[in-house]
Amino acid sequence: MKIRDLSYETFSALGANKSRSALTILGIVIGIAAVIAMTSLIGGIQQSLVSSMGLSQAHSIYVYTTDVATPLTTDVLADVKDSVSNVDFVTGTASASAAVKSDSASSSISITGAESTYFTAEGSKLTLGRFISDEDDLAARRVIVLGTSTVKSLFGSEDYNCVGKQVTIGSDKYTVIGVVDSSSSSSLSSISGAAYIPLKTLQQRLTGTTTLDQAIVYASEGANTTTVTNDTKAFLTTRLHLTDVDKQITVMSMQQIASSLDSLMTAFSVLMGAIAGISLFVGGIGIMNMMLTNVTERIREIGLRMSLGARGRDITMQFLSESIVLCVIGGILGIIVGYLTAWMLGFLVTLFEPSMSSFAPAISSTAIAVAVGVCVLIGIVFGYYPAKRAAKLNPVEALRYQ
Amino acid sequence: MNPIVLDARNLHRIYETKAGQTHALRGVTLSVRQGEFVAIMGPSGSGKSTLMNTLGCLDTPTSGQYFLEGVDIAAYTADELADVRAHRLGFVFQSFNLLPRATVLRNVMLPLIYTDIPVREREARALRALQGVDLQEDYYDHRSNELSGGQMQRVAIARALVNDPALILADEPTGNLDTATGDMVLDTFERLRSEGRTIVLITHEPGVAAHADRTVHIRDGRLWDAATGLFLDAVVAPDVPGGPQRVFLSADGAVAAPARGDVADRRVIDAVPSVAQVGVEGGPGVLGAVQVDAPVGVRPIAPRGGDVR
Repeated sequence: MKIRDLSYETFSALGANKSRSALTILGIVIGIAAVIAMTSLIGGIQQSLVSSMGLSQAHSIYVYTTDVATPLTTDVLADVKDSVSNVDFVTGTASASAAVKSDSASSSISITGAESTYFTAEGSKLTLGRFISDEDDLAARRVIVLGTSTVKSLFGSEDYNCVGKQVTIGSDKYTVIGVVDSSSSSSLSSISGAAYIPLKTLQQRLTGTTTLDQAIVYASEGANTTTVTNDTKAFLTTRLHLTDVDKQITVMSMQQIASSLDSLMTAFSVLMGAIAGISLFVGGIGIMNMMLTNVTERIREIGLRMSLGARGRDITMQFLSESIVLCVIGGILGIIVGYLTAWMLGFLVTLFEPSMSSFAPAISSTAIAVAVGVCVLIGIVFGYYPAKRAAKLNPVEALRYQ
Repeated sequence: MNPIVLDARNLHRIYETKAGQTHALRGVTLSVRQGEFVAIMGPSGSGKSTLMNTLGCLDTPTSGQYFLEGVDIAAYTADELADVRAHRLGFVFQSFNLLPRATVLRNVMLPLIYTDIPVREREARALRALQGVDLQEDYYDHRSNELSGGQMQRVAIARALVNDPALILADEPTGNLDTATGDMVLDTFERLRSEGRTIVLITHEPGVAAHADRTVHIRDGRLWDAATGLFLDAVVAPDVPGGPQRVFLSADGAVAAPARGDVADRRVIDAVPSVAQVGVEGGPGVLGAVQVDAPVGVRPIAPRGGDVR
């Protein structure tokens, strides 16, 4: 039988039972949709991580301490810079919550005290004005860089040109010198991105302490960040007289974080794959069930075709191609439904997490190819038995079948 | 003399069932020449459907030989048989067996998808076949379930013609039709015969069988002479279409199939060309050689309307 005849026979047979065909492939549609939705969501998350993790952040190593006798201070960081090799700079931050007021509005936000190098380490993107400079920090000037989200809450619009305007924190007036894109900063410092003032200004006017919350060690170009991370940790363990290293200090490079996220995602993918696999298996059984019913219903037709000269393999091919086409149609619908689901979930994510606004589900051609391949495979595996059963019918008995 | 198309020799068919063996064909020897219209008649359970299925290559005999156009196909594999069905045979069924949702044209073209005939030639062939059965052109694109019974059967006949078969097998083709429609279908068969087609038709109705050139009776899995009630070993096609068929007598019980021209010491009517039928007296195994001057225990029987020596 020619391919052309085979496809004609296949589509006319499936067309004869549209609603049953549609219901049968539901299992396949759901299974494939689940796989595609999950892989494109995960792919999207990975992509937005990569894009938010600019080149600069590949150099950044984050240091946090808890319950330490000797806290992180600017002096300690200077020692790190001097003692650990392959370090371009070390920048520290501290933060405080405060109400920031403009002429028209007030907003309670977390204010980050930052040095000039901080913006390089974080890969912040400037939309207006300038960042905090070394002079601002040394002189503890009352200048402030606002995140776009804060500009919106204080001045009503993200696009408002507020450079040169005055805002009030407590009783002090600060001059706005720049605006950064809130979503551009690393999600690691989750509270950052709202507003930045020079570190010294924050320490003198808001916290009254030289203790730092966090330090970012910026590894040199070409340096092995893992080595730098380990060296930093070893140095700080001694320098801060740590007794319980695992609990008291966290030193983590952005790359480590990304790769641990990656393995988390992989585990998640495997889990989703297993769930989707069960769904596809159930869908496959549905296909087999329908094809068996189909064969029984069309026994006379099979007998007729045999009497007209169809060989066993013509009959096998006819039923096998019906089940394959069913599965592939299910797969294509599943890909579409899955992608739409991923978009919808992505949209929900951006509603709840504005910093993920650049999120878009990423569908890979590999995922599509694998999905279609899996569908063909299901069609063959679950269609083979009914098709073989049809081909093995005795033409005489098939023609006599009532 | 037209060549022999169908030459079945000593066909046996034994079915193994849970209840035991069923001997559906017990040594059938039968030949049909090209251009003949032969009716096979028998009551239900006589083995006529088994014979039909064997002649139609849907079933293989347990023993015996079946030459179709001179080729022994008794030992063919399932695929080879399918190939014979696709290229050399045409079937007409009692219940039409059309694909209900497909158009008339598509139904007629259906057998061709199992052949190598190019797609562009198929439609031309189907149209030719449809013209041969007198179905109005308006119906060609109708779905087959929109037709009347008589129209459906004519579409089925066109489908049987489309591969230009050596042999058309019709199984009770008028069984589901009223008399008038049935007669129209039989007229179609007669016209096909006059065009040189070879037709074997199975029926249990004498009125239907009367349309054929000759009738072969079957009973209990054996050919049978309706006039004398005696079983026949073989029914051989006449030398000319419409001429008397020659029969070989049978002793009751298994006998080897005589070949055409096999004179020997057997009851061979070949030696008596003008005798149309011969009956045998006596029980199993008493048969002797047939001679012109009938020996003891064998006497020629007057054929209906024929002359006997």
